[in-house]
Amino acid sequence: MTGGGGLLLALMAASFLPAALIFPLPEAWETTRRTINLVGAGVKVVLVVVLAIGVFTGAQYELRATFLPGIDLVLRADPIPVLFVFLSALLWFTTTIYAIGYLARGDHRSRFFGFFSLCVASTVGIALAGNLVTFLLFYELLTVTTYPLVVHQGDEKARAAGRVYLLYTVTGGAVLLLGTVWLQVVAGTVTFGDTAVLTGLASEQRTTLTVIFVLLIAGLGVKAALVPLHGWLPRAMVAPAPVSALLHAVAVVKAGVYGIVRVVHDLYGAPLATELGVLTPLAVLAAVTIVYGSLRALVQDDIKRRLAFSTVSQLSYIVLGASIVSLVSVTGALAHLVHQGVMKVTLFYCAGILSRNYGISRVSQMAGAGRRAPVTMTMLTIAALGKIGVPPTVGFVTKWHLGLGAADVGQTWVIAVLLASSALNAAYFLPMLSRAWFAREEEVPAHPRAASAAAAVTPAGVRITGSSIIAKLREADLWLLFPAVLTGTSVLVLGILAGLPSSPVDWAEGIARVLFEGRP
Amino acid sequence: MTATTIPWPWLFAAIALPALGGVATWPLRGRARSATAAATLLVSAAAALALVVAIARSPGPATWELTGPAGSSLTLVADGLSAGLLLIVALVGSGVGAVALWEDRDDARQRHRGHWPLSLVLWAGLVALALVGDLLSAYLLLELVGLCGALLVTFRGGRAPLLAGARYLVAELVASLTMLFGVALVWWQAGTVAYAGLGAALADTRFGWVGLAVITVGLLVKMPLAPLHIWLPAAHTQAPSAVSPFLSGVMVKAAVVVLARLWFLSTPELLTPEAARLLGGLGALAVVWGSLTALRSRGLKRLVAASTVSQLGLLLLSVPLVAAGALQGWTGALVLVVTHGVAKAAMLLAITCMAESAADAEVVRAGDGEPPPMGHDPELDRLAGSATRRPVALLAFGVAALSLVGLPPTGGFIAKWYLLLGAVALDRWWIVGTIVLATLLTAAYLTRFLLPAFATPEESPPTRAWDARDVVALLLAATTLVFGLLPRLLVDLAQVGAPVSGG
Repeated sequence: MTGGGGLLLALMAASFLPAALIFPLPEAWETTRRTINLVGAGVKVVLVVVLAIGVFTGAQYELRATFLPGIDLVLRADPIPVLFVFLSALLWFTTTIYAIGYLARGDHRSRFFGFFSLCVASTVGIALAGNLVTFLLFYELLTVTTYPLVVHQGDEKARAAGRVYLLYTVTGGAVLLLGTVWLQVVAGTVTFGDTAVLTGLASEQRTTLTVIFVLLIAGLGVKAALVPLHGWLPRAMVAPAPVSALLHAVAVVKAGVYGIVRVVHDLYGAPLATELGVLTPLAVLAAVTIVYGSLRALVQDDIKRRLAFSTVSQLSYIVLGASIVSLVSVTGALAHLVHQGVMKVTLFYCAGILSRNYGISRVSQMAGAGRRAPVTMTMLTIAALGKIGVPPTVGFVTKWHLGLGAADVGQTWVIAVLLASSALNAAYFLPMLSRAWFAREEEVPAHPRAASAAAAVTPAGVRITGSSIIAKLREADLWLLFPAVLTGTSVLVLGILAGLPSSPVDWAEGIARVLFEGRP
Repeated sequence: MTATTIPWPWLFAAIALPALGGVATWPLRGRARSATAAATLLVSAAAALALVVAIARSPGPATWELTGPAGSSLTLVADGLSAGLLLIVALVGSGVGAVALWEDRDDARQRHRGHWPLSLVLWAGLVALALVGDLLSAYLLLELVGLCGALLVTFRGGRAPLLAGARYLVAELVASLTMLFGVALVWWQAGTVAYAGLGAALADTRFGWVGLAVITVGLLVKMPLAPLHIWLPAAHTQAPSAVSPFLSGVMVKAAVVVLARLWFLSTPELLTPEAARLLGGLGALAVVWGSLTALRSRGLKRLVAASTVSQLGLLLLSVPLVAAGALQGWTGALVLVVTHGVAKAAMLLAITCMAESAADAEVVRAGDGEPPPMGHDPELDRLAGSATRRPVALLAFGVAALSLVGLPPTGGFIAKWYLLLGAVALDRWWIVGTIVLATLLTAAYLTRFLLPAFATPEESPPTRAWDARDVVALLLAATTLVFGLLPRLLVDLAQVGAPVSGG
């Protein structure tokens, strides 16, 4: 069983090593820092692809080390972890590129990229954690390493956000720790996937197990931004756009949701959770969060804040899917883990370009954005349509599975929630899009940053005015535009190809089948 | 208990040598003094660590009977508890020693002549205290280290340190007299003051428990336990920068070790559940009291000193757990003794560095004007922007802060894990609640500094952002990471001579 630990070790090293190398770098060593960042991210993608191929050809990867007497630290590449690691490796790669471009002239870049790497390294640990203790260690490490990123700007607003962020996450962490300790006392160290242990205790420890479940979900729910534990997320969007992208798509919120999926399906197991009667309240809470997040998003003028509330809402699709015991909806939940990441990362890339290069940070300023930044706005539009659930985007695929799965087990109210949510999503995304594409531009002077960005990529000696075709294509640095285009198109491509083997959906269905029908 | 051959060379190097070396620096000047101090530190630290390793490798606690002239004898006990104290004496002591030597590299005259003799005698006293096997010796050594500590506080010169030192001394004397009275009572009742067999000897006596209670009160003042701690913040704040880390990290553990040895290894049968609960309750009170003080402190050193009060309360919370037979409580407390020691020392060293940079920056900003002096206890708001000015020191402070809050991957997390494990296993929900509350309060008062630290300063960053002291602080903070990532180092050590068998 312990074969193949080397690959996992290499994967962890590829995540932690760049951080260790970047921290001591002098601020001015831009090229070295870029190289380390990109090589680290690239190597990781390669390793993850090797890992994924290995896992699907039946190889076992496990890394185990004794931590405390009776408690092992375990990293294990089961199918669900590999799905999450795959997502984080790919999106880390694109976000690294984006962040390099976004912070090209910023301060404290060594500090920023050091913590950025640590943040993703913790996510890899969270993804591969083979038991709750290992998960907890990396989960708390993530809290800690994200904090300097949230307060990166160093102004009063960023610090206020940092304070709220810590208040929520440290409290959540303490609750999760309590749940973990309690479970340790009741059941010892339980490996993820070994649901028989807790099922065996169900008859005598029913209440205790229920309380522990509530503690675990409450602790994880803070990061997963379940209402009413979501308050930190909209405030944390003061962080630089690449951080928001990372926070909302890959690292922090995903860690919470991923944790919930694992607790429900890999620790308790759906049958036990159903028997304890904890899944219906969880589903209702998720539904409330979906609707509440969308309602709040409606009235936000700040683009990133609107996106943040949209995240609150979209994350709970995953929780909702995970708490409806049906193969199809669990498939939808797991697929949405990937889909939400790809869509949200695109939205934040685009929002970042708009605010950084055009000074557009509010919906009310978006008039004419379509003409001034056509590529960015196209990508933003695709991702927004995905969020609404328009076919053939990935968002549609998710909602289809969730609705179908709920109908399978007779929970038709879920379909009503999904429809309402789609309508609300349309209500807050479509006005944004229509204003950007169709509204008349009111005397908005070209943002100086945009002009300088265009000039920066122009060969010396050739003067290009703001209206020339080249300048229009150069609406943003390629460092910024390339990641946005890449993830934006995958929103479409993954949606169109959802039926093909080894698409996220196919992958998710395979996992769900294992969860429901036992290991093959 | 196993009686093995007495490791004379190690005992000599660990106990007598620091005292002798310290006294030897008295007549010396300049480089000779520094060189003697450095050599003494090096050998003493190596000897103390060698003892720790020996204890960790031994299957159980070792008892050594030292017989002196005229039939006098002294019993030494080397177990996990001793090792915990030895470990922080060696780690923190050599850390602050290195800082003092670095500060003196150009001119050793500015350091008080009494610094090395007193601080090295203090070192020797603590090592001896970790090992002695009877209450009377423990009393004498506590008296000695208290005296050294109080005098060291005054060495920066000026009125405020003198007052702080005087208050410290008075508190120490009151505590000592109380304890002496208790020891006398115990001697009268039991006819012995050796830890071994004391429980049995006192079992049927009339006033034995009074003696133990009086000793406990004395030790709680020495520790100090809130609300008997009024002397502590001033003393730890006013002490010279190479002294306060040792006082706040190590010195406060002296009374803790005696208390633990007395109640859990000597007279556990006399510790009633009610008494244990009372001590735990006082601990909970101290946690809240210390945290609330830290939430209101204006100066960062005072904040950190108040945090020591809170962490000592956390240690006392383990008493009802251990008394009820939960070995996890013992393990958690011992890990906390060590990790708090190194973390607190790292914090205080880092503060000195950050305060210097902040003062320099104020001079730059003021231009021709004269900025108000920084003082020995820098105000929180004047340290804003330390992340840019002094990144290494801030990193050290940050890592140490993680350990105090109890977040992984630091040793503080391991301590919290074991305390929680014991409390949940025994269904002591008020202890669970206090530990969770302590986590939140600690995070709250530390972020009072850690949030503004990330503000972007107005002036351009300095050219030299760190020196040797920052590195020492970082190394001390990094040991909490070592204990967090390889927790068996401490956890296994705690089992040597632990009071209750696991299971």
